[in-house]
Amino acid sequence: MTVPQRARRRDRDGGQGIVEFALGITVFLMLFIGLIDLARAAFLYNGLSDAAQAVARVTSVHPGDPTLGSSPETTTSVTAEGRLVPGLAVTAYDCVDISGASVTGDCKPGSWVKVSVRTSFTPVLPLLSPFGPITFTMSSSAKIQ
Amino acid sequence: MPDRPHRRAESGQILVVFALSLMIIIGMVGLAMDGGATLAQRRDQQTAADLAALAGANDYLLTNNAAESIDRARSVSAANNFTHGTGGTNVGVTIDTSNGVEVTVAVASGHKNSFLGALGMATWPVTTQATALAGFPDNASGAGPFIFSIGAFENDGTPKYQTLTSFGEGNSAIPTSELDFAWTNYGTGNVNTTDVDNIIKGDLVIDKTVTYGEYIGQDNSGNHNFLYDDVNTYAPNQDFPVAVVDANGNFMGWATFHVVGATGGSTKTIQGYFLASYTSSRLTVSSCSSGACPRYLGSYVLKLTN
Repeated sequence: MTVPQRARRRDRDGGQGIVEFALGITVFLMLFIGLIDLARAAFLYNGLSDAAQAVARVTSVHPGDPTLGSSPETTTSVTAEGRLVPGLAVTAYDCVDISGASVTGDCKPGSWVKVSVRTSFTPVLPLLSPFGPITFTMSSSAKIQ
Repeated sequence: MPDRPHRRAESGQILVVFALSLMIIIGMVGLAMDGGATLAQRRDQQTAADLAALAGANDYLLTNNAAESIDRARSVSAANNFTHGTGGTNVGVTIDTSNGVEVTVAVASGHKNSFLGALGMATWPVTTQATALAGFPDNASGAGPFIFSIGAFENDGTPKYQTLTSFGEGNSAIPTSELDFAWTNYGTGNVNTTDVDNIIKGDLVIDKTVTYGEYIGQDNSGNHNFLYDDVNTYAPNQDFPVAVVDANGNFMGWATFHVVGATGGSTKTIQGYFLASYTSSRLTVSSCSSGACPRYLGSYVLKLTN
């Protein structure tokens, strides 16, 4: 093999390597970022569930007067849970009976408070951006003390 | 072999990239797995604290013994998988008897991380707290306009009449026998039957402070036929807090009476029965210290307050 032939092959090998690297790194990054997104989504979903239960419990002990969910303890709980769940928003404090039917009037002991929460999840992976932001919703009920 | 050092350098780069990627992957998987498990532990731990506080307060109400109450709270916490002094778990129990009895249980434990341990975070602390209040009620809302006799209760406060029984009106200021009752509008002097009428209909709310041992009898003479009709119309199958007095008409505490019906005319009886081991949102403990509260008369308060 002459020297010019060897140099040309090395040039071809280099180009092939770049293409292989580009393909490989794309797949790798997609999997990598996808895994990160999956983990973030799982954590956010778990956290939202936890937040709904925590806020419902506090509101069941401190319902608030005259409006359900207006107690300072509930406000403090929502703020604390918001540090774990970015974008946490309480959408409703409903007074319900044990079957889940709405209760009108004052929410007295023996009834249940149903707390509905939501947050939104924005994927980092560009491929998923058409689907985002994704809204997670959750609710939890606790008996008024 | 001129290209060997170059390949060795690339191998080193891959190793660094792999190591960094692995750490990030472990971190993110750990966030999802360990973070989720920690949140689940916090929920379980809060449930354990809630139940332990309720059990401790209930135990103190029954025994008036702080050591037994603390043991009960810790045993209930252990039954819910948080055992005091085991695996780094601490179950602190404090008792306050200045307002009924308030038992506070603080459970502190660590969540053992699976993935994040590799990144130096072996455990995450998890703390939860609950306070439960127990006591015999010194406040009633929506009380019925009836006074019953302490004779209708055993010495330990258990109601004697827990099945359908007729209680008669003796026209006296206070019940004169254990099967007697007297009307009241929670005032003084003569009973105001218009007020009683409106109390039964739910049209009148009387705000009255009655202290333990205070005389609450009112003169009851007169025709109360329309009040029996009211009871039959508005009160059947309802549970009312009712005042209970001793033989001298002094307030002893609140009981809960389930009204079935009433008969006027010459019969003049209210039919119903007392409830035992009963906790109601209409009966509360607000200001009496343990031991100075009205006595147990079938009703009690037990609830979470924090």
